[in-house]
Amino acid sequence: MVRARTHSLGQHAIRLFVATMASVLLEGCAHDVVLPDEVIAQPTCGDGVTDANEECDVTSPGCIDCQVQPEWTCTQSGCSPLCIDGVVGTGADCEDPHRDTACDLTGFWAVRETSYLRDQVFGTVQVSSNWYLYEISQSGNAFAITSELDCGVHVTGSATIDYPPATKRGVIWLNPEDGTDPTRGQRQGTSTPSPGGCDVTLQPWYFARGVTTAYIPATFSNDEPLADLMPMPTVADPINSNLFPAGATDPTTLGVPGIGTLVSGLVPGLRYSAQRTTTSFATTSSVESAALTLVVPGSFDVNENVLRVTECGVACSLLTTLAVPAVDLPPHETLQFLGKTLGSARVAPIVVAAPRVDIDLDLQTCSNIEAFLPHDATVPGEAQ
Amino acid sequence: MNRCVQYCGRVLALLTVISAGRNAHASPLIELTGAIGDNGGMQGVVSGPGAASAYFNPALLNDAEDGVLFAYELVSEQVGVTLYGRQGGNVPLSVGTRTVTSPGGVPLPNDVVPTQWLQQGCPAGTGPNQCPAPGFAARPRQSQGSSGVNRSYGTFGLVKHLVPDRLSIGFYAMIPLSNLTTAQSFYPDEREALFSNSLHPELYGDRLTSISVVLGAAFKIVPQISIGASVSLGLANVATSNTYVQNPANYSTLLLDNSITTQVDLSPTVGMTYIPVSWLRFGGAVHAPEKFSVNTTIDATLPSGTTSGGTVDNVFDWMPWSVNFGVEGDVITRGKYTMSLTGSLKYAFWSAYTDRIGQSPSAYGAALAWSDTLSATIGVRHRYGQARGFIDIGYAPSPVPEQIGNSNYVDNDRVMLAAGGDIALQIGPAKVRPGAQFFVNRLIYRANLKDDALITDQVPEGSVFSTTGKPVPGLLGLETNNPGWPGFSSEGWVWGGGVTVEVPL
Repeated sequence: MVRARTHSLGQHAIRLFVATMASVLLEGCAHDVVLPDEVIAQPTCGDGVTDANEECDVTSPGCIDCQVQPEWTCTQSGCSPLCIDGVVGTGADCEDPHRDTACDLTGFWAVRETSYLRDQVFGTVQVSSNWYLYEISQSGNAFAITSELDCGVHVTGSATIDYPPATKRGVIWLNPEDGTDPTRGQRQGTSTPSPGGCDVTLQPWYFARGVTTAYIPATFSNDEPLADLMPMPTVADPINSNLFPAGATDPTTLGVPGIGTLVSGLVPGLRYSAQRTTTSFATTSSVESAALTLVVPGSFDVNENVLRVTECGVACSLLTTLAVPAVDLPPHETLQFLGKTLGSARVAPIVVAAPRVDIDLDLQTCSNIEAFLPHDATVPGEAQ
Repeated sequence: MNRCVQYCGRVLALLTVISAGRNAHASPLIELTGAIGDNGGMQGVVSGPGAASAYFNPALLNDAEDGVLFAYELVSEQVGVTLYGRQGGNVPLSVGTRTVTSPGGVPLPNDVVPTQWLQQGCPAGTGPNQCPAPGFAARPRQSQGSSGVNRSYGTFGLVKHLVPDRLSIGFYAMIPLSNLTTAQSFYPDEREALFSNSLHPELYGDRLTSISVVLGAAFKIVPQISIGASVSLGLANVATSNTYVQNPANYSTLLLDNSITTQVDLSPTVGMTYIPVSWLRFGGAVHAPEKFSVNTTIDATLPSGTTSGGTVDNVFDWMPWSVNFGVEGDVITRGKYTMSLTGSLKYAFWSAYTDRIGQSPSAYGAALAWSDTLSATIGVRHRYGQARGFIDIGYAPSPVPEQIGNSNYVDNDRVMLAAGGDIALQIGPAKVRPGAQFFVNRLIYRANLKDDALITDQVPEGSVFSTTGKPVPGLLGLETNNPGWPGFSSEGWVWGGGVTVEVPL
């Protein structure tokens, strides 16, 4: 009996083996599968894709909450304002728009100051954008800045650098160019008709961030090099130091000396530094008359001492190294005309209130300017 | 004889001691294919004395015939992975600007990239939603899966009785024929999205290309009891890369000095057989843990003089301590015909598993730690004159728990079936034993559904743009690039077979 059962067991095993091999031959090749994603009905405004319920989805003051604002027109790549308040063009769509005055720069301008630096670790080029709001009042060939906001920076390259919100708030009114500070007065410039259009200049100006104004010249018109000025505050060990050196300020009101910048990319962290810069601009060839966008070359210099680094893990030493201006890549200032009248349909979407009255509204204005005139990471001469 | 007993015992003990505790090339390949040749099948711990006994139970070498073994083996790995469709959870495109921080201002980790980049890539350029040249290449989910591979192997074995019926040695090797060996590391979690963005079977793949070379010896203490020991030979690599980074945006300018050390390592197996009566045999073996470790030290120096370094310990082909026990009994003996029943158990300590990136699965939480397993195999053996054959069937549970958290270890319970046979032929003055055998592992369907509460939210609620302080749009609950989210399933086959030729010495 036992032998019969064991013999039967062997036969069953053979049948099982044959059946299994047949299964293997039939379905023995496996394939990976990815099942379709489930479409989730969730707000996607801000993802750069214009959905069915959106009129636009671009970062522009002409596109707010994914709806095209009055007097604006939008495409997939951006928005532009229509023909009102100092802008004229042809046809209903305001083709070939331009200012209604030739070289008179009177009005509100979104300004992006582009400078190029080389980091001192790799020597690679970093591109810096520093945004401003200018309200310009021109009489004859001379103009002055009558209201101004310092809207912060964005740097790309071997590191990405931004102002965190506290720093933006701390510097937005810090270095007025509009006469708010009587000792500095108003920043002056010229816009003079020329055979090729207009010649534009903007006088030298100094900015102190994270240090007192004792570290910038009393008079800006002498155009003193930064290297000739009083040495900046410094600390011996920014990684481990808790010192607050004399001359440093705390514009971010975080109890840390210097202005804080957020560094991301290869070496992330927070860097606090004492900084002073100087800029001046002058066209070397005339800009187009009545153009909505002016690009004016100039000069730029910066002194910066790192006073403290935080949130940087084991790579803090890299955060203490800074960049210096790339002398072979001169800076330029891009001025984008907004309109002439505060509250107009061209100006109001960007300049949401009279500057230097409500800092929260000014921060909103700065955010609009940054979106309106976005950072351009292109390095001149480099293949894209 | 007493001197021989003492001497040989010392040799076996020495063989075990010198190999203990060292890293070695593991033998997941031999474990999967079972014993090749000599009717051992999946129960080499007690059955089929032959060259393969050097690995499965070296004490059996005393009962094997003197001879050499040549074999050609094919193994087909067909493990299908199905990723479930994502239900939202995309990391927003705006994260690519690297200006997103926690509400407290801490930058988002750099290993978080927009989901759109993974699926569609990021085109080169300097405009919005573009990346520096040459751009970010797309790596859609599971587009780089690693199953569906056929591999072939050459097998060589040798058994020689140095002292007849007392002391024997054996050698057994399986060598991949296409690539001598490969080692492919991958992250079993969301970090893999940055590389293949795919899931890979944890216990197959490169583990089936390990060099498997075993040298063993057996010694018969008394007529009923033999003991044996063997060592698995393998490689262990130590690599040091000293780099000088001239430009982080152009690694073609990287200066690199490599230093690589390869050493041969050993791992022991000890075994014993007990034959109380001629028709009943017991066998047991203990395998020490084995692994192929690659320790890579990277030191980078920057032009500023800043130096940074780190060490990555990759572990491949890890095999646990395992205890094997088997019994074989002749149940029918009629003239030239003998039929035997065989059963064996294997207890493997998988709870100590170390994955390819050198971490324990328990790093993902105690509930996700692996378990020890007990697998069982039963079978029959037939012998008629010079012909013999076997059929085995077994079951091996997976040590991997359901992957409900960040980890994505792909593994399944297995049902195993193996069969084969050979026959001794006299060709002129020569005697040869040709044979063939097959094995099939059915990887039983298994589904893994993620628990969102256990998944790392790569863009936490409240994240803001550092430049504006405004909330990042599109955040809605969990955002993750974990390729295994929201779940996955797997099933398949690992099957193979080959031909053998044995030549008695």
